[in-house]
Amino acid sequence: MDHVTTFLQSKLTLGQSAAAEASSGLVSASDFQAILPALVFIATGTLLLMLDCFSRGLSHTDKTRTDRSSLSTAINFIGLLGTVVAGAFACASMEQAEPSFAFQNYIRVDSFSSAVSLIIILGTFFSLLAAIDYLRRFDAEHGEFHCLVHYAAASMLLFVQANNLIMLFLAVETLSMAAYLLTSYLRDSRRSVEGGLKYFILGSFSSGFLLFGLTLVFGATGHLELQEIAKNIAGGEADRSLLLAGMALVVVGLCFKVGAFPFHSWLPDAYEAAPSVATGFMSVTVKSAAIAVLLRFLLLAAEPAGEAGTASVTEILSTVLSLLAIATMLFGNLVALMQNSVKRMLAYSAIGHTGYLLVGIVAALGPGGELAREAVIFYLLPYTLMSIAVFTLLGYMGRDGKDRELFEDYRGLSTSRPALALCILVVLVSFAGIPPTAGFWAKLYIFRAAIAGGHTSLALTGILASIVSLYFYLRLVVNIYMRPAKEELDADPDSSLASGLVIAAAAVALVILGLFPDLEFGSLIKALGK
Amino acid sequence: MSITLTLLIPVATAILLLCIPKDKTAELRMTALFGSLATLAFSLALLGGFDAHFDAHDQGTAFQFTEKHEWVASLHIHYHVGIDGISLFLVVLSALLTPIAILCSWKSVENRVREFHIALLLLTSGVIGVFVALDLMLFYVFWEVMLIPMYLLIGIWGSAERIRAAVKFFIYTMAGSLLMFLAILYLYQHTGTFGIEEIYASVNKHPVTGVVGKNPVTGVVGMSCFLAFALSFAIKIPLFPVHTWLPDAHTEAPTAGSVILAGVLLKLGIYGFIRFAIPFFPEAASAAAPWISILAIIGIIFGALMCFVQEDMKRLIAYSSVSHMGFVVLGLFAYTSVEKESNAALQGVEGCVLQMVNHGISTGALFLLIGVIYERRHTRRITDYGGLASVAPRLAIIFFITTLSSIGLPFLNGFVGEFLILQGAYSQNVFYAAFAGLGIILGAVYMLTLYRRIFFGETDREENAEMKDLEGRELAFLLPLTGLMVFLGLFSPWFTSKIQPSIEQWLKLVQAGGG
Repeated sequence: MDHVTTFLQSKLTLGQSAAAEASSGLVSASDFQAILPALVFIATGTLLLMLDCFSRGLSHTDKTRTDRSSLSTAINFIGLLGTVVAGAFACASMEQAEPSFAFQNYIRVDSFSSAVSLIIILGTFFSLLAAIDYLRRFDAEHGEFHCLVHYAAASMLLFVQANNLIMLFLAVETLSMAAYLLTSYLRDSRRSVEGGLKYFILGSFSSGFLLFGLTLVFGATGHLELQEIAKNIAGGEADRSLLLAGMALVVVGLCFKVGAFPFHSWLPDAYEAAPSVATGFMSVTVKSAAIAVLLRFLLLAAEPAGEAGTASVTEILSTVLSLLAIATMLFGNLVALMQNSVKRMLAYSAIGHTGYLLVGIVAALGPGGELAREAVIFYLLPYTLMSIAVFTLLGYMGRDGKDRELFEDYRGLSTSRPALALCILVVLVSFAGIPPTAGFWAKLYIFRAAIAGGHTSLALTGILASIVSLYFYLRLVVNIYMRPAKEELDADPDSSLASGLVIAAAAVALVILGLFPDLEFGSLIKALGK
Repeated sequence: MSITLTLLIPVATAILLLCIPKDKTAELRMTALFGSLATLAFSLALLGGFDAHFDAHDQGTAFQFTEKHEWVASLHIHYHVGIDGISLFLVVLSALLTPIAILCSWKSVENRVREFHIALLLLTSGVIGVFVALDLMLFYVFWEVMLIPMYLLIGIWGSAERIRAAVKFFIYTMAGSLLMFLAILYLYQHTGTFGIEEIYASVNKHPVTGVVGKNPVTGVVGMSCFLAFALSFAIKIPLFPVHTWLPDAHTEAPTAGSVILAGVLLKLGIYGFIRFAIPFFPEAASAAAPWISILAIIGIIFGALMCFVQEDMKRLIAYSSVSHMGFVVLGLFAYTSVEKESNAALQGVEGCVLQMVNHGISTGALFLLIGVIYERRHTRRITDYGGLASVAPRLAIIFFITTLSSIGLPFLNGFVGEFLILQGAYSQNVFYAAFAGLGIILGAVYMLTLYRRIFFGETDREENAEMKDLEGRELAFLLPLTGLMVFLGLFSPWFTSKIQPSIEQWLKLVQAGGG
């Protein structure tokens, strides 16, 4: 565990010192203010780790049980509190209209990054809440979980705020490291460890692509700072083929992180292997962060470079991305159709949702892309709620250290747990994109942006994929509502208040957002810089 | 406010039901019944307040009781509702069938009573919402909202094969809807509005001001959009060959579900053609009209022939719906009638609107009657019955009136509608009328055969001999419908006088655009 901390800290100091040297200035208080949410996460994460380490000895005393449980209550409480504080700081930074820079332009804070940060923090909060029950049920209450989630969240916030290629890579590496560890968190479970290892190997491979791509972009433009790169490209100074190669490699690296076809192969295994709460956490936060960065990165080269008449690098890449989007939507949804495990089904449907997001990104790169940028941000919010809710359900269903992942395990849930079933119905309806839930508006905004941008074929594919997706979401509804229970679901081993709370909150939020989708969320995001 | 109240009362009642403990079934049923009756009262208030001589020119709109509030500002979506003569009776019909559906499930639905009534009430709101929405996106939201309760009604409370039927129903309808969704977004992209009257104005000559719009969606794109709308509506109607979900859904649904499905849900497709598909894409619609008419005729004959081989009476009525809805579509597409100086177009469309209501009443009543019989004997096989007329005379009489109404006997409601449709079809193409007439004859044959097999002959089975006649509760939900059959048959001018001005207005709209 410790190596993660030191790793993170060393990378952070590297970033800071490099920035300090570059301008030979001092790091001011306002710099720290800009990354306050991330700092809060690092601080609470470290605190929790310490708390866990120094109270290890307790387990040998007589009053073990009570002490352990009060310790884990304290850990849970501190972890959630830290998330709330981070969220409050992120909210505060939403207010500012103009982008601000920190650490010699290594960090850029604007309403776009703040909005994505807020979604990431929301996902983190819900995951931690759901983890309270889950970890207790699986007897895996260690401070590490919270610590890893906090470090991952911190690095994702920095990833979204990164304004420099080095910063970008450091952040993505840190977050991946935390994600690998989270996947293999249930270290006594063979499946979990195997999944984590698989994820680690393929993930490192993709990081290699990303790093190589970033290097080539640096080579082509001679700059590390994103604004300078954009200026350089717009000025036509960059070497076009080198830039194209670099950008393409970066896109490959990021497509791996979001799980786009054909870079998805790690995803179902990792999602299935990871403890359900960790799957929920990763599926929303990593994806949100990577989608945001992909969008921001591709916009760098939106200006046509070189002589007039040639397509800009972004245009070329957006053609490729639209093919990837089509393949991802169809592949994810069609393969999800064939799964017998709910968890795998959700993993493939997550791939499908990546496809919809890629449609939004393609539209955002074209003319009139503001609509699509808002659509992408809007999509992430209901997606976060839905995804966390279903993975919480999966965690909730687990009993005696075993997950219950087959469709038939969910039979009769509506009779034994009617309120929970109703909430899950809302979530699944939202997944299928049916009003009056937020999932409907999320799809509406994406497809509308695609049509406005002239990408009718993408919208059409999206619609066809949505039709396919109906079937497997309904399949869960059929099992929950229409088939009689195979076996009575035994009473909760402990109170599962927190899981219920997460699912209910998500369902209520989805309906409210579905009835009033015009929360002016988008208007705050318009400031996405060039 | 009346329309909003009509929409909100079922939702409010559903929320109220959530607060009642689930084992207090009597209270749950009474609350749901009361809520649905209140909805009916408000819809009747709409009927009472409806002005048949409403002057669209003075008011600047063809709709009455309109309400308009901003909903989603960034997309210019409004909560905009209102009714005209075409939607008026459909709203009342939807509100009428809900208390009837609740009454008919009083004893047959025993498990999950609370959820059942919540689903039923939400379905009512959704259906009424579709009929009153004057904003395309609002319409679409209602259109999809009602699918979930219907899906659950079939899937949870249906009979043996319910799950397959429910999934089939859902996938079919959603597949159509999603393609329409794309067309709606496309239309929005090119007109910049979701307002129905605004789209009319930009596509056609404005119905009120007479300003000719620039018609942004034409040619191949217009045709594709029309087909997307038409597919979605055709599945709902259902038009041959996308009717295959209907026999399953109807047969497997609980009685209440079948009643709402036959009574109201099938009308949504026709209503969609009238309100959206045809006036939005007049050129494409008139180009496609002959093909749709031919599909309608195939549906009429095919549905009727299928009725002859059914052993399950619910399935038989389901196929008869396919046949009857074919008539309605045929009447609607008489609007393209070449003889503009004659009243053929008007008659056809008027017959179509009238027949929608008639079919809702008579087929709804047939499903109720079959439900009543099924509750007693728990079989739907026609061969299990015989000689019921002597055992249950009240049932036999009401079933007979309903059968005659379904066949279209003069002085009962079905006659006027069918007659008008035939007139409209005749002016369009003699063959259309000939095949439609054949359909009517076949209809009489299979319905009377069904009646004979159930009610006449020897009472050779003991269970049948002991069958109880209708009781008070059953009469309470059957007699209003029977009364309406007679009333509509005798006083159809009262209905047409309310419908006609709106249809004339509509014809001006679509013929201006298509011509």
